[in-house]
Amino acid sequence: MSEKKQRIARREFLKCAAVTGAALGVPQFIPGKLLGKDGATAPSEKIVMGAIGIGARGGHDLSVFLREKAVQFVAICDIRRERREAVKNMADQKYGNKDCAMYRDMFEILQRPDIDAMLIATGDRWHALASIITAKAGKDIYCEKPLSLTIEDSRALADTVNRYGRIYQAGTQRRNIGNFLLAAKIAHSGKLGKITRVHANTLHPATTNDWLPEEPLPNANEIDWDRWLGPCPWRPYNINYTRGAWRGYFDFHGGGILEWGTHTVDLCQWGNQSDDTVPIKYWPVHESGKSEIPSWLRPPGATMQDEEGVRGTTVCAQYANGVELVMRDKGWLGLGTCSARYEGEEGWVETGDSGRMAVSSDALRSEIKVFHEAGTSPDNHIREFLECVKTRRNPASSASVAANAHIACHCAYIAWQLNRVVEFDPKTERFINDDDANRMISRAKREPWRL
Amino acid sequence: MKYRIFLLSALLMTAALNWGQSIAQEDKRSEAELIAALNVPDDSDASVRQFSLAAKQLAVTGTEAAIPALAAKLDSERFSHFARYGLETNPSPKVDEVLFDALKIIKDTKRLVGVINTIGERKNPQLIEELPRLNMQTAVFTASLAAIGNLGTPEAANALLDVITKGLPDQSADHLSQTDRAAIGDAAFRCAELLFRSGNAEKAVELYDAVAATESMPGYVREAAIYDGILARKADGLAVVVKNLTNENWNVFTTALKAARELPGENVGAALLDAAKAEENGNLSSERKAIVLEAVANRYDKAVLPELIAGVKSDNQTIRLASIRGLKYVGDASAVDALLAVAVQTGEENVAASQAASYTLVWIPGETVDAKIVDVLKNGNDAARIVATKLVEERRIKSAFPVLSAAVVDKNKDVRKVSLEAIAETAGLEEIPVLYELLAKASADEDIADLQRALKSAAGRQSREPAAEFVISLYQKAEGNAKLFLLELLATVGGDKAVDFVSSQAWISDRDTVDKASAVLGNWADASQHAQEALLKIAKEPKHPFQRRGIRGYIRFARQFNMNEDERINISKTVFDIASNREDKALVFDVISRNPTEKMLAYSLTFFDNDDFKEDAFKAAVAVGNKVQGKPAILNDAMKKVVEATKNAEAKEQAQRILDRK
Repeated sequence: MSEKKQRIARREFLKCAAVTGAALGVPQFIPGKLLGKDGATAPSEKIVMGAIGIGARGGHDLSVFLREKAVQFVAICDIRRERREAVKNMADQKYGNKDCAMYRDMFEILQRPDIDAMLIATGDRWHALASIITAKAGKDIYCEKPLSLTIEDSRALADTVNRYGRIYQAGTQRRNIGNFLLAAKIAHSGKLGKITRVHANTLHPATTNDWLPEEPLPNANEIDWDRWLGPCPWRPYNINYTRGAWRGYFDFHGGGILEWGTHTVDLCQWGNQSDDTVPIKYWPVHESGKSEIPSWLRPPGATMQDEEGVRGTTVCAQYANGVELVMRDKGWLGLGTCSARYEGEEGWVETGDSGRMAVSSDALRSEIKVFHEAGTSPDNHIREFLECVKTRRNPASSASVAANAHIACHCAYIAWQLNRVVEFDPKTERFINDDDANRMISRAKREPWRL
Repeated sequence: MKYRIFLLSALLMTAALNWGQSIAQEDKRSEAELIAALNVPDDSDASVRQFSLAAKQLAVTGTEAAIPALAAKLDSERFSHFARYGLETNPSPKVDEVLFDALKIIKDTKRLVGVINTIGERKNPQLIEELPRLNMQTAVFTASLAAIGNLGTPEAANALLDVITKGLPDQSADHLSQTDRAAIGDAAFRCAELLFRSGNAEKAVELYDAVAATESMPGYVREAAIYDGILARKADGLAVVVKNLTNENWNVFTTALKAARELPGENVGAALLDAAKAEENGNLSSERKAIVLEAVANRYDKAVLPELIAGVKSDNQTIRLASIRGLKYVGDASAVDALLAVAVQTGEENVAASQAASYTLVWIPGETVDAKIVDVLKNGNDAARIVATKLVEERRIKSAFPVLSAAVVDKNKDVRKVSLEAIAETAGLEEIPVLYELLAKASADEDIADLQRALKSAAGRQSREPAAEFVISLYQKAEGNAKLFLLELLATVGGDKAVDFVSSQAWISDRDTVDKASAVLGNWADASQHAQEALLKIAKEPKHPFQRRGIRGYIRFARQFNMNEDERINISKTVFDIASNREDKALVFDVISRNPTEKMLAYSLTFFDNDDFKEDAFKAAVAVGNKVQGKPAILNDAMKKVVEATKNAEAKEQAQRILDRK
């Protein structure tokens, strides 16, 4: 067993391959009481938590954490005063006290010995480094995705989390949502035959190097712009960056493959039982008249759009075992955002955020389930994280598992940027005979930041 | 709501990014042009931007020729990072020369740290020799150690061992903060893990043990050293785990047990269990015993099975919960009686264990398990039946159907409800009549809703054609609201037979039926040919009472579904011709905006001279222009026309931005 493989949690679903005869089911909820005595958790037994960088998405996560009786939330760190205060109000209101402490500097909050675990929901530019700093401070981590901006950051994150023996759960909550669980279980069960191709719903890969117009720099207590930028290249302040408009900028965002691929490529890695590796070859698909669109990219009864004369948005990849991974934003059956599809020699299953599932044949329809409500809730995922903080087993979206899914996304994005085929060695995590691609594995960090 | 806004912002990301902006991946300048761009006149923001763009591209494509111009800015406050950005990935050894030269010149701590970080990224061993000559400010020192750690060589390890055991080269280590000490530990860890990967486990262990033995290190760093030391020892790490079973520090104990989950070796589990029972470790607390049991279970090691089964019956809640959780990994039929006994227990004190046992029971495979659950379903009290029924649902135990179908009329409302949910997950086509008969007899609104939901769940999993035939046969005997529900059920079933039948009901004389059938068609779940034909037929008939629904349903295929461009345009043209209402005609522009391609852009051009719709067409064309990459000729022409002709200021401004983009 390789060193890297040792660090990946044994996938419990591997066992499903042996139950091909049986109908498949999945538990809908992880009971909160798995964590212990509900309602009577002594303060000393609670998981004490803080958070770094809580905006819209983080606030949603935090509301789930606050509902859990096993959690005591005690402190917020944010470079925006407004958000620090909003989170403090949220926590104080929940507990009926004024105890939630506020910090601007993450090193200060991380020095608190009483804190066991941190919720990190900054913008993407900080996810890897903040998680690394948190792991180095001896805390467990629940961090939103995408967890990194580069291949190097992804690996460094997993290495650091593993180095300190921390529990890490990436915010790829679909690993704990019914329809996605069931789809993966069907893929693992052998009911689709040997898996040949997996499909991940991604968005347009492009990003820009443009700057927004400069605005007057606020007082650092209001918004600490230098800390907001963190390891990223300097640029003039504009408030819109701090309000979510950082998406789409190369310095802060990995584009559409990372935006959703971190969910859906992760689902494909899972469905393909390849959590411990990544594809070895990546190529952008030219959706133009000059380059034929492979027929297998076309779902039944439809053909891909033909964008003549422009670079396409689809990137394909291939695992060492021959299974293909298709990252595309088109041609889905309309089962909702973040769709994923597993194809085998004997059939396929597709599902998405609507909760609906589709299968290739009537024979497979008995395996699926009608989920009456759409669901992207992180409740079960967060509950699993909390259970793991207590028991010290690795959760479904551990740092190693998430790092591999992210590395696959980064490789695809690099192939798309270079607009050509690239080959990748999962063992050395270097591209093969491709200097340009290898020079895109990392980016120099603004001083004084380092991994 | 906030999450929806977040999701929306992610969805809009690609549209937002292209509004007149350049694409990061399209810098096609030659190296000479990029190098020339590094020659900035001042340190204004404009110069920083110019420099940064060139440096970013040179980070990927720069050769030795780019090094001098980048290196010249290493000691500049505004440009230093961008200079390193361009240099750090450049494979030329000359980069190392300029970086080490810069070390001798730069006085500013932050910039010095930046250069050292870049040297660290480049793994240049020369830094070990430079270390004594560096300024000993701790930020510089810890950066240097991190860079040395990243070398991952025995020489680097020796340099770090020197610091760990002897302190700083020129002074006592006493003044170091805990953070600085942690940084030293981290440098050692990084070095050790690289050594381990290169096969030098012995040196790696030496580093881990040195950190673990350094009392001045923060506790969590020492714990990490123990953890890593166990794993680096591979099979020999087991002895360290065993030794720490009784470590008085709880964190060291749990850290060791986390490592135990990952240690290689078939005998790890059994050895741990033996050690936990050994006389010398006889006083392990129940909390510790519980962690040991769960750690072995997480290894999928069946050696722990007897103890877990015994643990399920324990009076100690900690042991009991850990045992139940552990059985998820190693449980088999032998554990089911014990788990079921706990799962059906009632009382507040048993809630946690009961829920945990139910959860674990979902995961244990095997027909024997199914049979035991069905037995409880038949013979248990109400509370037990409810637990067993939920398990039947989640495990999809088909053989339970006869018992369940009797339970759906149980006097206990809770039993009825869970039984229905379970039937929905287990029923085959032949069992759907039972549900339907119950629906026919139900009178309470809540029961009707539950039954309808169950029928949809069950019907949605059946083979389409026979399921459709069956539902149609029910429909032909049904009346009133039951018929309308069956039309909805046909939509859940899906397929051509279902759509054809629903379509037929959209043309009969009963208005309620026609209303429901046309509504069901308007939301059909796929864009099959039969579904398209059904809606087109309604759309084309002016006398049909729901013609507009037909029009909107038909164009919905073009707006929302996957199809080729010609097909999408044909649907749009048809709707534009058929519709008499302006609002309906204008839906074609939504099709164009949602599907931004050059063909759709060309289609929008056909409306540029249409006085009634040209402004809609201008907006749609701009929407396409915002989303497509590059600037093909047709887009250029279209945007020029928009700028000339539109009366909408926003459309004009956006069209101009598209024209201006490079």
